[in-house]
Amino acid sequence: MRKAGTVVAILLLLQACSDREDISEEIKSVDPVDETPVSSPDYNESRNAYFGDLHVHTMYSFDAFIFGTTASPDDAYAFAKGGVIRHPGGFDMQLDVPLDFYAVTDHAFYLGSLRAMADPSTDLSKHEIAAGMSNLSDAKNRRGHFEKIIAFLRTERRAELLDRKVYKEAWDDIVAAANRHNDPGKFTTFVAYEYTASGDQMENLHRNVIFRGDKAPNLPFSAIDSLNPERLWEWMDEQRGKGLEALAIPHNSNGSNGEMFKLLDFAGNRLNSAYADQRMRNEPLVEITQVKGTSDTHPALSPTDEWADFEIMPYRIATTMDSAVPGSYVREALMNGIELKQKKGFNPFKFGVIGSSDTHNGSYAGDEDNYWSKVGLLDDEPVERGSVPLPEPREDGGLYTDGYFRTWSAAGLAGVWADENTRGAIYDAFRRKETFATSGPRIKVRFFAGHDLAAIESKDPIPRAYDTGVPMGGDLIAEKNREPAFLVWASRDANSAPLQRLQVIKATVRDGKSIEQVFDVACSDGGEIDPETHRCPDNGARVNLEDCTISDGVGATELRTTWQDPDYDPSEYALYYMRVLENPTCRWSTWDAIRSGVQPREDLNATIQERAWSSPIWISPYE
Amino acid sequence: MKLLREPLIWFFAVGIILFTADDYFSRQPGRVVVDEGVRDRLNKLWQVQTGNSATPKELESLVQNWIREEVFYREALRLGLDRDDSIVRRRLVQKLGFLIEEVEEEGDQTRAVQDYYEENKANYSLPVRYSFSQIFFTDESRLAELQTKLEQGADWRGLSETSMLNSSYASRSEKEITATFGRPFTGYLYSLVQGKWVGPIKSSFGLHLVRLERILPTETTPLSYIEKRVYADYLQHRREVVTEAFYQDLLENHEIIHE
Repeated sequence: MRKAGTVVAILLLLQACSDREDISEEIKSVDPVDETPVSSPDYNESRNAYFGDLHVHTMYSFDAFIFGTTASPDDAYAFAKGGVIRHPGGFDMQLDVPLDFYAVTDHAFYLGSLRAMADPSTDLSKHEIAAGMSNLSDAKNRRGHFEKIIAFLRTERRAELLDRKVYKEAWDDIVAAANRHNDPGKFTTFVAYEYTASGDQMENLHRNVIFRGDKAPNLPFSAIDSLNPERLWEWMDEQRGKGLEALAIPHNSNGSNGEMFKLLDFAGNRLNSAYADQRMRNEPLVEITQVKGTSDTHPALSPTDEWADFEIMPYRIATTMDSAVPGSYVREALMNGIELKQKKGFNPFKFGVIGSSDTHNGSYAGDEDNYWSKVGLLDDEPVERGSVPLPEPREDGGLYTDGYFRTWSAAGLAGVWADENTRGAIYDAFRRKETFATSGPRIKVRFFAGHDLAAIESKDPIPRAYDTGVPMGGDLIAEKNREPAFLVWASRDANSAPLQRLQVIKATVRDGKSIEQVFDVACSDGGEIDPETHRCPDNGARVNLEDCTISDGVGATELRTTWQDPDYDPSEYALYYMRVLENPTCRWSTWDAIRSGVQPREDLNATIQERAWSSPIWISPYE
Repeated sequence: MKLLREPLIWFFAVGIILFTADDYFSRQPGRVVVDEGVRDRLNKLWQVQTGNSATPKELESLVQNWIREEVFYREALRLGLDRDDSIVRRRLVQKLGFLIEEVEEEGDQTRAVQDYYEENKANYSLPVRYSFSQIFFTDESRLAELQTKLEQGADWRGLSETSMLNSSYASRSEKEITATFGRPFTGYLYSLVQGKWVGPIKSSFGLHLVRLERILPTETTPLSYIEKRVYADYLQHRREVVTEAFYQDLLENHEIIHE
């Protein structure tokens, strides 16, 4: 009798779940062709900056579940809107300032599977690899399970862990949650997932796939369908044909061992224009910074960029194997792109940039001074992430925990310039590449190029910049007799450190090879740029490592200038992007150490300079 | 017989009978009954898992599996394998949870949902929002000049220094204002006067003269707009209440000893 009662109860629950789906279908659909502006109160023809996170994992991700995460997609969206959710470590997480947009991007492969394995009533729980899954205890045990599962997923038997019913239910819940929380004019969500492909040697080829509308394919295209990202693009092309517009955003190229931006296709052939077209049709953006490090550039690639050594994460993802530098960083890829354009007429690496967190807690990863990291119970304690010494030294004498968490970084953010906060407006900004990335603070950056721009100090230079020039992410064609000017403008995060210097990073193809230059273009505190070195003087901003306080009264609230390239040559292919640096502040590891009453670790940077990067503007030569 | 009125004696007598009976029956070869109920249940589970109704052959195989499982299950129970097993423990608790939730689905809940909404209006309300205009400047010595110009009726929009800040903001919550201007600025919101330039007010950017256009008081979304959401919240709340009451009820019959 009791058993029968339970079955009825389960059926009722299933019934309740399908009721929930009905709700999602009633949500007004976002029409992809309707460009009529919605009259939201902050609609702005000169566009507003919106901040969000396009890389968020919840309990449905196989790894997040092992890490102890119980936050659902609903919880994740509630958190982004300012709600409180509980970390598996037992503390509450809340944002000081809610985000404007958010996308839950769970790993499509084995979506919901691990959760099902831990439930003794499911078939998946009977699988040998599920042994012990329902009783995960400490971090060590969890990490052991994570490694065991990762290893199993690399065997021919990986399909055994796929239960289509579990997969479908999880995906439907993710789609429904995104549609339920989308609130045009106030808060934007996206139907999204992560395509989690890796090479034989753990070369990271991961992408997040973001859909424009509220409709989703029956199931995502996952790494089980193919480990070849070109198959993903083919599938996306097919979906687009059916009216399901989407784009893919690669991330952690730093951990790809040179595979993400290599100059060969997946099969090992040289790149061609068909490859470039397909890649750019599907991948207009790249995630340049996140918890697992920053992929802008590397000191070995950019020896003349003194700020290239920023949150470098040197390993392949989920390993401590070194990741080769060439082919793994965005700036080098952008440069190879224009070189290919000049030599062969196509550019497969014409990316705009965003940042995001890659949190596996459902919750954006927190700021440097409030870092809860991203893998649940594996790294929620300073000792576990290697910022504070172990109670007892390791067997090999090491004072800190082994592993890669120390090289991780407190979150990145995605910024866009859009007319208003709606799915359509923000997605279209992704397509235009009118996007920027920050290492966490809500720094706003504007970047335009044109031959007829108004002076930066004129009353409102933005409408004219849109009319006569191009914003970040755009293309400009050189003119024979006039040099373009750049409008470069950054505004601080009101609740973070002031700005130190404004920079333009230039790449050009000269004598058949791409070269890069970093220009300081505006300095804080009245500093003058040295015309030889193109550098601002030191503004004297310092951090007190006793308590992380920063110099008072130093730094700028805004930095802006109209800039012209002193080495401009209208016959060259070139690209330019801006970067702005904050005054130095404590890195999360220093905050951890100070709060624990120990010395910050000497082999880690005690301070960082938070920053923002714009998407590039490409200039084609005068014909 | 005075002794027969003694509850303790009854207690022992019944205890002995139960103990003997349990011992006797558990030694008997068990009877495993496969009735319509069992077949029906197996068929339904099959449908949930595969989407199809079981063919007679499939059903027969399901029944055979079930018998096998049932026999092993009884033996496992007899050996006491269910005790001190965290999976069994968790699963049973989970099943109990389902039973409690089952109670939930009865009767018309409209009135109760309405009451729940009334009691939890704060969850369905927008915060106080401010609409204001601002003139931004960095040098405090400009204050007198700005005030004079405003008094003379100059266009206030032309008085701001260039910045990425907007000249006007419509219906922003305190949190949003803090995000844009920084914490200290938000502290001055209470000193604003409608239709009048107030300041200088300090922000993370510099100084501002601020004119409050209007305050939108906290506003509750009508139930009819968000019925489904409130109903879902209500159900969740009811589940928590019922589960807690059930727990407290059971707890009364237990003595908890911490050793």
